[in-house]
Amino acid sequence: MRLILLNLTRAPLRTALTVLGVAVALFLFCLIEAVLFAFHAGVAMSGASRVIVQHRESFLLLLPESYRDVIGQIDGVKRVAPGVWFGGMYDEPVPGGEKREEFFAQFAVDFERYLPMYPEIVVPEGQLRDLMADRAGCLIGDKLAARLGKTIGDRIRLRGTIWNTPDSSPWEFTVCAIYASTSEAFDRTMMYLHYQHLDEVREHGHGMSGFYVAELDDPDRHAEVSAAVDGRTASSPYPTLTMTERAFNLQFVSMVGNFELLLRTVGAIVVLTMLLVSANTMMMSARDRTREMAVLKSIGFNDGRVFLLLIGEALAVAFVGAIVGVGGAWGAINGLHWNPKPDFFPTFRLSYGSLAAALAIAGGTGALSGLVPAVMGMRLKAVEALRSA
Amino acid sequence: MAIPWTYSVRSVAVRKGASAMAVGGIALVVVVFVFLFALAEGFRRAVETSGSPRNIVVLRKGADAEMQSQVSRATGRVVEQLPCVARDGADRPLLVYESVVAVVQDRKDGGKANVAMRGTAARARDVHTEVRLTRGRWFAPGAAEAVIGAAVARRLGDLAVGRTIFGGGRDWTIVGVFEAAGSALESEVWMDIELFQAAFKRGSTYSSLLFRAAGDPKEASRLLARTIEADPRLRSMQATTEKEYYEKQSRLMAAFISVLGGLLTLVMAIGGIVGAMNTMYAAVQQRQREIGCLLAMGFPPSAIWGTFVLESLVLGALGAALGCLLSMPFHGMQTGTMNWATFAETAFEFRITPGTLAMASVIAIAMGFVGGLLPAVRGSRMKVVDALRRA
Repeated sequence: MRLILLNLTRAPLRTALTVLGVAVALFLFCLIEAVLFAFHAGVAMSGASRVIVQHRESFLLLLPESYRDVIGQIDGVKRVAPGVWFGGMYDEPVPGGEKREEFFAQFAVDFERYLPMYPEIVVPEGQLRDLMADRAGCLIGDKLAARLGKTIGDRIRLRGTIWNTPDSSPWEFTVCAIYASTSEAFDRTMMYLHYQHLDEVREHGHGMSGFYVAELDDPDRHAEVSAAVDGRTASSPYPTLTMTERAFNLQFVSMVGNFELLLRTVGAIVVLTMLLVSANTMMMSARDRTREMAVLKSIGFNDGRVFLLLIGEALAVAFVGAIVGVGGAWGAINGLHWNPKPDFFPTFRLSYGSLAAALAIAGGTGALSGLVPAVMGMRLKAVEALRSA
Repeated sequence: MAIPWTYSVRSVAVRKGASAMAVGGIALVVVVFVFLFALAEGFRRAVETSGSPRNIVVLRKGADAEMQSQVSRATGRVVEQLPCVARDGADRPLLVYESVVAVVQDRKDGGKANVAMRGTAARARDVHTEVRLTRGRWFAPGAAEAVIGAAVARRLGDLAVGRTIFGGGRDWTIVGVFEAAGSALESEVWMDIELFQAAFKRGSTYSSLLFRAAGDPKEASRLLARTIEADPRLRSMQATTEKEYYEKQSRLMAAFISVLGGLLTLVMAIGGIVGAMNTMYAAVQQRQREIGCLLAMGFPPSAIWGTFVLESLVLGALGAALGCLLSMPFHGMQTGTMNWATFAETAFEFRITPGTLAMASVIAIAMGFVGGLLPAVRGSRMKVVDALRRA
């Protein structure tokens, strides 16, 4: 054990560089995992008991308000609420200084019906009362509040890209409530506003909802209920497509296309090659010490001990690399909430699965890069090695 | 007195394994860099070439994309009469009312894609001058017919002249395929505007007005902006040249790629530098004796430093060359993604530009330089006696 440590500290620079190489590769792996996790964040936050009703041909087409009752009457539906994608651009200077347009998800919803379906959204009692009392009020996520530097009572100004005020002036909302979440996966950078307010003010599309969220009595019956909803509207001018919230969110992931595959491939190649380079360095350092191995053997170390010694060294390098790389990524992303582009990645964090995968890669590299020199060391004949050296 | 540069170059060739590792590491950074920026460039080009600088598009104020915009026929009538609108031989304004909707379609590879459907006039080609019919014929006014972009035909499969495509609650017979110089318009399906308005229940509300500017388009758009301010009937409208409109759309994606690409390149560059450093330290160590000899022969330490830095630069240059070579096959590769500004699928080709390659090469050589700097210092600080004795 002590010998491993001594061997590692003998060429401190080389060891440091190798450790750094492993660490960088693992950091990169974590980074890509976090980006991919962000892509799937919408899917991860979906509830099993909720279905979304959208226009059959496109989620951009609207549905009439009367569908709230149509859907509500279907057997198996507990609650239903209309929702509209607001799609405004944040138009104020960000706390950082310069003025640039920020984007985050905004939905106009019927709070009274919508919030009971989302137990993930946690709003303090008093704030909720204020929100219900103020038509021009809004509810924002705590992470969004931090990003925009807003607190209760502040105003948020949005340029409407889809919905316009009659005089084309920007929309203004008062922050009445800030939500936190019980679920780690739930997006806390969203903004909700009153559907009723939007419908009163907007210039076109009166009485039209973008989609409906419905909560089911029994999540297992979603296929049956979905078919019933779509059947009711099939021959109307506004046919619907009903799917689980998960499937609804998944369609956005699918639309991004092979982007994800590209990223995954790039990541895999990069990580693999970097680890190969590190492995090569470890082998190089072992080869340099052929003579030492022979000395160890001649003073009585058996084959097994030499094997363990070499593989232990490689594992130690990988282990330290993992602590630096994975630990660094974990600390930066999950600890300090570092996010390279908050408007693109509403949730940016490392899942435990990715973390485990990163550690497994580290262990694998250590074992693999140690294996070749270790086997070589084990098979080494002391006499030959000493003679040739 | 300097050591001949051939010494550095040959040294690279002597230690094949270690050099290959360093070169490979650097080449990889180059490949990823070129790949990501070729993707961004391809997307940017496809979107930006969709617009002609001679055309002007009128949208509702605040709308960033046609799909979010509403323009009434009444507004169109006002704009039609403006002097900044070019006219054809028969004195008809070169202006089309257009509507765009994204409709879900099945993709060839099994996924779903939002395909932009555009209702336009049969004479749209007088304004969209880059559009060329490659197969079949143009749709007839008043008929439930559609022409599809070449990229739609390619990516959705199963769509050919004679087939139908579903949208707005009805089937449209495909009668032709068009190309538009590789732009994002090729990812669209076009049909007759009157039928389109009826099928999508849009009444007399269109998405946009597109017209050919009479005279200088910049001047025309300024003039139009002033008219909009002055005329209450147009006050909720905005006008930009078509080129600017599309440039704005590609900005979101460009920002995303540059953040992602920048970050990946940065982290990988650190890895690449570490790899080069390792190789160079090993080189210095292995050639202790040579260094000793060189010093003993009277070469100054600065010459030793120079030769190792040069060697490292050669590694970087080789990495750059290899990386550029390896990334060449990406050029022209076809892919597609959702344009977040319009929520519609946009097909594009990877485009590698000389600028991207030059930038990648500079990064690679810089990596070689940084990686070789410290090992070279160690080499140049060696004492003659030590170097010769310990070997």
